[in-house]
Amino acid sequence: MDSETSSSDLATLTHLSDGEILAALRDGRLNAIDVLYDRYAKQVYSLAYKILANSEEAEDITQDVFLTLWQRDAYQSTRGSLKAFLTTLTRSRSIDKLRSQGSRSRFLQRWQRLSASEPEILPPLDHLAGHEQAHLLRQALECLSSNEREILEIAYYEGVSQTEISKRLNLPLGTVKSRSRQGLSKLRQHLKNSQ
Amino acid sequence: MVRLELPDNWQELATGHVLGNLSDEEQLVWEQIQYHPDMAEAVKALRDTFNVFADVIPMHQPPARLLGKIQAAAQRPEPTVNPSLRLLTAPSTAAAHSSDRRNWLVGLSGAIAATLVAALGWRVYALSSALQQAKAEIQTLDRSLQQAQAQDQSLRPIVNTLQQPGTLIYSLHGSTLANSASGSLVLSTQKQVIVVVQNLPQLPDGQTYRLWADLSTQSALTYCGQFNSNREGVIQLTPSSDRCGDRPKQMLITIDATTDPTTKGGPVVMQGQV
Repeated sequence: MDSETSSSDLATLTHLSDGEILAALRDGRLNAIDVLYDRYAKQVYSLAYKILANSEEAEDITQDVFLTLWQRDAYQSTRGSLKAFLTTLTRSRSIDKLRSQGSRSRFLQRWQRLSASEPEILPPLDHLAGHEQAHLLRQALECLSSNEREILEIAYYEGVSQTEISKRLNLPLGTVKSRSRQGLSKLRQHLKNSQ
Repeated sequence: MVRLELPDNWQELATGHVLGNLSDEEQLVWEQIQYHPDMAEAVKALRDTFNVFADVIPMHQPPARLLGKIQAAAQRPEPTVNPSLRLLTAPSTAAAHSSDRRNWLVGLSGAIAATLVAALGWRVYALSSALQQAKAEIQTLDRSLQQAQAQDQSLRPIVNTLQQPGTLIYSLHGSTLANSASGSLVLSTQKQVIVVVQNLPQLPDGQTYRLWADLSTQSALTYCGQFNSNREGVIQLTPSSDRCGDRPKQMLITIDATTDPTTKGGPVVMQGQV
């Protein structure tokens, strides 16, 4: 494919839905991965970075996630959006990597992140659609009590067991379970009401 | 067809399943009802809800080289048995049927030669790939070293300032105009100000951030200087008025046009107290 045809193919793909782009990828149109990467790489990389606090490991996870999408027919549209699939896959792979590291290196990484965070892509002051969306979601999280939110954040970003959360926060296991369930239900209800 | 009835606490079970905290008893019930259509829908909705935590994180741009790495990795052939090696193993049965021992030996020699050539070619390719990879890694390490040196330089003034007795530290938080912004402001007795911020966007030409001190001795805010945010999020400035060092109650940052007078500030983007 010469460069002109390739650019034209890329332009065509840009306007397609995720499902159509995936179908194009299965048909061997290599530009399709560029479009999917353009749509989701930032989200995938940022989540991996949030969990692992290490740019090289976040890069490895991003590569792994996109190769899985490309080479294995793992995504089923009936089970949710491509974004949700990539988010779940990224979280799962990142947490697996995190678990493979000892608690000491985890602590060091998180400490280093505090002193040397990567430059973030900052939302401009004018209200972009994505910024608005993130703002709404942050508002939704405010419906949680600080205790509920803390437990859910540890569960989501670190994937540790409820028993470990209970030890870390010095709370009874039953309290951790009930607060996490109550928090997730409240969040679900809040998002449902605001739709 | 008999429709499976869900227990009263089915929503709690779905929540526990998504969070991975079902008890053994709950797990048994879950296994009975997990394929119920309402349950599948509830689990999907709860998973999407839990993924909200992925949507509120700070965004980072992946390195520019990453797409190329993915493309290269995807198009790299899967390791397979070298076809020429197959000649050495598989055709032995064919050779057994051949009555012409000489032809068989010629064929075998050819196969060995082809194998050697292929192996050498593969070795050259592997060494070349390793060399390319090593060069890329050196470049990455070099960039990391430069970043670390730059970071060290940008943080040194803060450390020096913090070591001075009487230094005040203000904890800054963003207003609705920059609700994800946060940071600290260090005010030294040497009348030096260091602002350390996260998520405060760099402004285009024509706009500026202005720093103001709220002094208990003054009814109006005191103008202390102006700055733009930067990639490192560390800004050092000397206050334009000595009054700025008189232990202000709070410090405020406004956004203004560079041409605006400094007698009053624009909208507040960040503020903080000791």
